[in-house]
Amino acid sequence: MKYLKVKIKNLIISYGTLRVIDNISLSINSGDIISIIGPSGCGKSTLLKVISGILKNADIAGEIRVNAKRLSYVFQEDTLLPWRNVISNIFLPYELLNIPVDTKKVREFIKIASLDGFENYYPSQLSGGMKRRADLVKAVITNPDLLILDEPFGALDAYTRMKMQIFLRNLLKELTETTTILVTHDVEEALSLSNRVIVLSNRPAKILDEIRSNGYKDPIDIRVTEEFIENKKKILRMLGGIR
Amino acid sequence: MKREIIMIQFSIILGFFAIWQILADMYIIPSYLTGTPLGALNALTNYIHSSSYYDDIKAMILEVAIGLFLGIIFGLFLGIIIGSSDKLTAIFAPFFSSFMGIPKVVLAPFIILAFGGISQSSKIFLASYGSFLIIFHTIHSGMRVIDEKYLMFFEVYKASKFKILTKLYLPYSVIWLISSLRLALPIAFAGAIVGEFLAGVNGLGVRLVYYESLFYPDGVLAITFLIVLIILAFLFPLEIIERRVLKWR
Repeated sequence: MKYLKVKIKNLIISYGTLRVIDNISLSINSGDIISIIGPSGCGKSTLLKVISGILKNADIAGEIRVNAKRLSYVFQEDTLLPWRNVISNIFLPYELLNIPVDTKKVREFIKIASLDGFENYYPSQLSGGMKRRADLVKAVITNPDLLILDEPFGALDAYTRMKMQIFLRNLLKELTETTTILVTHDVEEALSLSNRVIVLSNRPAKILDEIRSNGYKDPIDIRVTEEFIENKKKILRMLGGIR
Repeated sequence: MKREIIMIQFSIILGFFAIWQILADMYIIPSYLTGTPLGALNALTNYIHSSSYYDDIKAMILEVAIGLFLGIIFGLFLGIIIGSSDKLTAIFAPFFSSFMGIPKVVLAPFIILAFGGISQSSKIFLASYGSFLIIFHTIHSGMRVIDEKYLMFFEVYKASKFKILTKLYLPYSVIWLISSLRLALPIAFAGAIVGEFLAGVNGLGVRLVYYESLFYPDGVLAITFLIVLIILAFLFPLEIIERRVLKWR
């Protein structure tokens, strides 16, 4: 049963006189995997923060309703605590939510993330990709019903990035109940991972268009389909301001 | 390699004292003013066989231990509370900065009087005051540069203040606490000793001033060595603790 997860209506956000979000309306259903794409600095992160309720020092007007019991947020940089090893970092959300640790699930997810054998390693001993995977496992381990990803692979090299996209796709497969909002500036990533792509304009951000995609079913093969290439061209034209 | 380095360091120290001793024996430096290493060794042996030796060391270590403990508790507590709030920082930081600028020696006579003269509490206060300022300052600075992303992470999970304190602020502060202890420990000793200089019954500082008043340079030198050795004996385990606790680095 699909239901409305996030409803945004006529949202305007400004920092003082600087308007960042300009009259955005958006509905997100449960189970949706939605990508938000736009030029850097256009207000994508601000939009995510306002949905998560952690936006500070901003003037917010309009309506925003978020129907999520458990929310997880993956920031641009990993939030693994450096003094905790991988496994106790993954346990942290359980501790914060005061729920018992599901050891079986933790073990299963560590395996999916190819982190088995590294449970007792500290973040400083891991590669960028491993840290990112541990961070993602940490975010999804408590079964969030709303998962927010803010340019999660922005700092990774192209090859690791591709591997991480496949990993994320596998992870999302396990989380059928989870609604995911992914912010990225990579058009291919947006199209291949989500079923809806929202294209934002330059600041102040407005919705330029919404494109349906069925990327999450097959993130690699879809990249060479005609539909994918057409959509990619369309988005790039929009972002580049080319008609 | 490590052994070689220790040997070299040991030789430097030994060489320094040997030259001192030789120059004194040749009357090139006035040993009636500077004392000699052998004279100091002799004075130290006599002192260790005296009755006051145990009480002096016990008094000083007790003052430093309690003083440092209080310095850590208050430094950690106030450093975290004030450091985690912009408003409290704006209000209180200037006070603490100006306290930092006041030489502790200037305050010592007042503190000695305020705490009733020869009592040990004044030395404990002086030891804790100096170490507190260092610990507070380091932890406060650390809290000001804590990465916003960690705070946002805890906020997303709607973590309680207590959880943020125990799972983020405290473990994070340990890094800063340990690095501040290297400075705070000698400062605590300095506080206790200055207190003992001014007024006291027992303590190595008391002994130091006593020997000075007797114009007994070998004795002064002996007590100085003893104090240095005790401080080093405290600093050494600190390094081991640092390696243990910060192994994740």
